[in-house]
Amino acid sequence: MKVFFMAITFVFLATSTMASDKEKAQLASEMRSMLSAVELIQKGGFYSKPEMMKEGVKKLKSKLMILESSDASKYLPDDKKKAAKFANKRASMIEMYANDLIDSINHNNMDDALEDYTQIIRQCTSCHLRMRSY
Amino acid sequence: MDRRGFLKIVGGASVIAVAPSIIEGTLHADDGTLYRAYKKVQLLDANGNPILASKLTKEKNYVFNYPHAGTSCLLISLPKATDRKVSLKSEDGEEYVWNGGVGKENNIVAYSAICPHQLTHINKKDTFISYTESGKKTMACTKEMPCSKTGSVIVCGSHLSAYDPYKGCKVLGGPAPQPLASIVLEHHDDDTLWAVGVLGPDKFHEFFKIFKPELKEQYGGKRKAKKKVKKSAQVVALSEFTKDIIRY
Repeated sequence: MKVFFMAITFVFLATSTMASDKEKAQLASEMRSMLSAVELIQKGGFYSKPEMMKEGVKKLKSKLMILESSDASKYLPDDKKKAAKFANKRASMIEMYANDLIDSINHNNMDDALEDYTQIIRQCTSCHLRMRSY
Repeated sequence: MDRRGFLKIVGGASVIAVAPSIIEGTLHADDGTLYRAYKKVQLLDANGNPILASKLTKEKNYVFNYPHAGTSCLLISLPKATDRKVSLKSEDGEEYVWNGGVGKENNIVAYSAICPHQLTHINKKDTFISYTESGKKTMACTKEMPCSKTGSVIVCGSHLSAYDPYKGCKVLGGPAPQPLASIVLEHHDDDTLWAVGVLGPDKFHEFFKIFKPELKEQYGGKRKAKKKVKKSAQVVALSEFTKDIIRY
């Protein structure tokens, strides 16, 4: 019986570690996609191509879900586990600025659109600053 | 100078000396003090009754919006008297003097709740900035800091900056480059409280620029949020003002 419970515990721990590793890997992959989306917005801004910027926003928004829904406490180091709400907040701010960026482009207000882009980057760096203890 | 000009100057100086709260604008005194006067407004509760200093619950987080309709401030009745005449320094190196708390116990303080680091602020959805009661722990106070045992600090949970409300919100730790701006309060003989100005460098300009989409959502637009508060400001508990108080 003892061996049985030990085996169950081992299997549980092993699967939960695998699950968190899988989630961590998925997050890294989504982060890379977000980076390329942000680069696309920037490129669109530099080349004055609003459609490219919109495409970047669309890609970025589709990847935000991972930040809003994943349980960051599963893979964050101990001293950062509680910062999950902070990460969620940054994600919601990115979404807000992304929506405003589209709105600004639609109103032909490139100044505001670029300000929104700056704020999106600010949200990203703000979170990385906290998570990586710079 | 003719007699009329002389009388104008003397008259103006007398008005400022007797009632500083009736002037508006930025004053740079010779001693480097930075103070911006706004409309003198009375602090009222949700029913429109005057807030009485002695009736405030000690260590409770209260909020009121001042000097703009969209800039929130923390009002706290601290458990003991604050320090007096505290010298503070802005990010630019400009020095100014914070006079201390008001009320019979000199324990009532108010600060602009916009963190000068990355402009974290109180909004209607959530807040990462609030006062942590005495005896309570916060991640912003590391073991080496006395506040790790005492609590009684204002904490910005975004990047864990800690401010001392007893010393004009001097930075105790974290990345904040300067203190929170202080809201200058007046305590009248009838125990009422009034806000008259802002001491220290504020972040209002950047705040209105950066949070335009949020202000649109919460106040119906930047212009409405930027409107100066006149006559009175409603004071509510932080838990009533915002849906989620996030503390670290």
